[in-house]
Amino acid sequence: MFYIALKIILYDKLRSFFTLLGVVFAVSLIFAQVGIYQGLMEASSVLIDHTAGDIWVTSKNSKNFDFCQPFPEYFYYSALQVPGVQSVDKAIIGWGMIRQQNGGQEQVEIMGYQPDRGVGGPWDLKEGRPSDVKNGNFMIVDESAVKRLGAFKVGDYRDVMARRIQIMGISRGVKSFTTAPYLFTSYSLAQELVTYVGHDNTVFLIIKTLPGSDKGTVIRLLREKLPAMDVLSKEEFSSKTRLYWTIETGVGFSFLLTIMVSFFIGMLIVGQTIYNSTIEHIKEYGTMKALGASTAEISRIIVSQAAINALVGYSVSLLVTLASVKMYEAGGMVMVVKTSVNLIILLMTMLMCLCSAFYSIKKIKNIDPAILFRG
Amino acid sequence: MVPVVAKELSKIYREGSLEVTAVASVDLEFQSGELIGLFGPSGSGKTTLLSMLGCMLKPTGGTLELFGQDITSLDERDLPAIRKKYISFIFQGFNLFPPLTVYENVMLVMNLKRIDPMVADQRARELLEAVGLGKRMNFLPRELSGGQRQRVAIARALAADAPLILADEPTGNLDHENGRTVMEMLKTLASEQNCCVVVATHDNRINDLFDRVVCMEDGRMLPEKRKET
Repeated sequence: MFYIALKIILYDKLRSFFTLLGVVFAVSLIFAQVGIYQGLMEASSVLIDHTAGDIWVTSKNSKNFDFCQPFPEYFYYSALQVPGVQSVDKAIIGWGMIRQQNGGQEQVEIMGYQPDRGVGGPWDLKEGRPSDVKNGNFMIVDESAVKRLGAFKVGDYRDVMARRIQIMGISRGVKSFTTAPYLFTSYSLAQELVTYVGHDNTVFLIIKTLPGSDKGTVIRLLREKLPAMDVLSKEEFSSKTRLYWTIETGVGFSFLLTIMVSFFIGMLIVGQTIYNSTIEHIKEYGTMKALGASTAEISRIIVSQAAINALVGYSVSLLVTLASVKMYEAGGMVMVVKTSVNLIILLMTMLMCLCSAFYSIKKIKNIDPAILFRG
Repeated sequence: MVPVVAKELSKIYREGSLEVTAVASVDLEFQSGELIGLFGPSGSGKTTLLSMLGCMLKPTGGTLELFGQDITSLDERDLPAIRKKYISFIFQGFNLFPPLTVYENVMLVMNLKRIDPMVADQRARELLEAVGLGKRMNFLPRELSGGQRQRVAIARALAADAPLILADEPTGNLDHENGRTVMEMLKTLASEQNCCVVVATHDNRINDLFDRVVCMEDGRMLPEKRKET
């Protein structure tokens, strides 16, 4: 039956081409939406995911990474006393302004970390080292900031919160969800720049557990020790941040809506062409039925047509998507293409095409024998 | 076993309070090896009768036995198996799959019957040779003339190896010469393979080829004419 389906598709070349085009259009749109959404979500938790630490301590009820409030530094010592804790690092995230060379201003996110330890600092440097921000008004800027800040190079000076700061390094792959560029400075400089944090406060405690210790137990003990704080595993904090941007901003709903619309458009296009093809071959299907083929046997031809459309359409869409990743990057967007997600989209495509065969199968089931006897 | 025995076979179409009797109390008995002509004007009920004989349409009254099996008592789901085992069709419009070659159209029936592919291949080639299309096996139906297409349809019907062949106006789309050739093939088929071939037609020019002629009018059977031997 698969062979007959293939022959029908190859025979109706123009119709098959437009069906394929419809599938490619719908599935490419799904790929793009899912890929961009994933890119945005990765960006929203990029610093959490790349920071070497098992547990994050933040102010109570912090909604996400970017909007955490400061809390007293002395909790650092309380955390250090908890059994199973190997090390605790302080880090700061805060909002600031940078003056552009042409006179305008841009909002930035300032990430302060301890330069000797590097925890919370950049992990992939094009130029410079994480420790280069030590002992002075120094910063590391991500290369993606070029669009917002204009061209810059190591050694350049910029005014951040009215303070002259020298660029000591350029990082890679640290693009924020909020589109405000990340500036990495020493912890002490960040305390000064982000004025609402202050000298005796921090924003994060990043904890590494001892090898062999149970992370769940350490988290429980930390929660008991620091009841006024939120204590989250790295994964929990990452998910919380992603979930915040997905739900609270409506980003998730918007992407979901586009994906669903693409799904239904694809289903309609494939459904209509398969239905037309079924109607065109209805006498032949009826003849098969007359010769003893069951509805299930004939339905297999229809389902095979849908499956072929799905597989070919999906493959072309995947190629289009892979080819367009660089194009998206050039446009300042990140599109993530992951094998696991690709498999889910493949299943969606199959489902989309198989659902579209529903009415054709119904038609086959109820073929009126009288049509066979009309010349 | 007698291929077809019908007693008071009826088909009434109902739509709301409206009733249309397409076939009314038909009694008939067809034997193997016979070529039977089912004559009648349009609307006389011959297509409805053919549909019921072919288990494509359920009668609303009477009984129908095919090869000793009471069809009227069977469930709708059991009918494909009956058709697969006993019945083959030839249609006026040929109803060949346009994307499939002549050879593939013939093979399709045998695939449905799960016949061993090697055996089916040989049989398909033999049948196409027999109907004079051995050299056109890889042609698509659109590349053939009407007569050639009907010969493919006959080869397909023969491939099913069914003891009962129902043909609806098989010469309807053919010129006289091609029509006669097709009918002669069916006659040979009936006599040589001991099949029961029922042909619904209103082509009086081929009247002489039938062993029996059954006439219908307004859903009823008229007294039968048998060919004198």
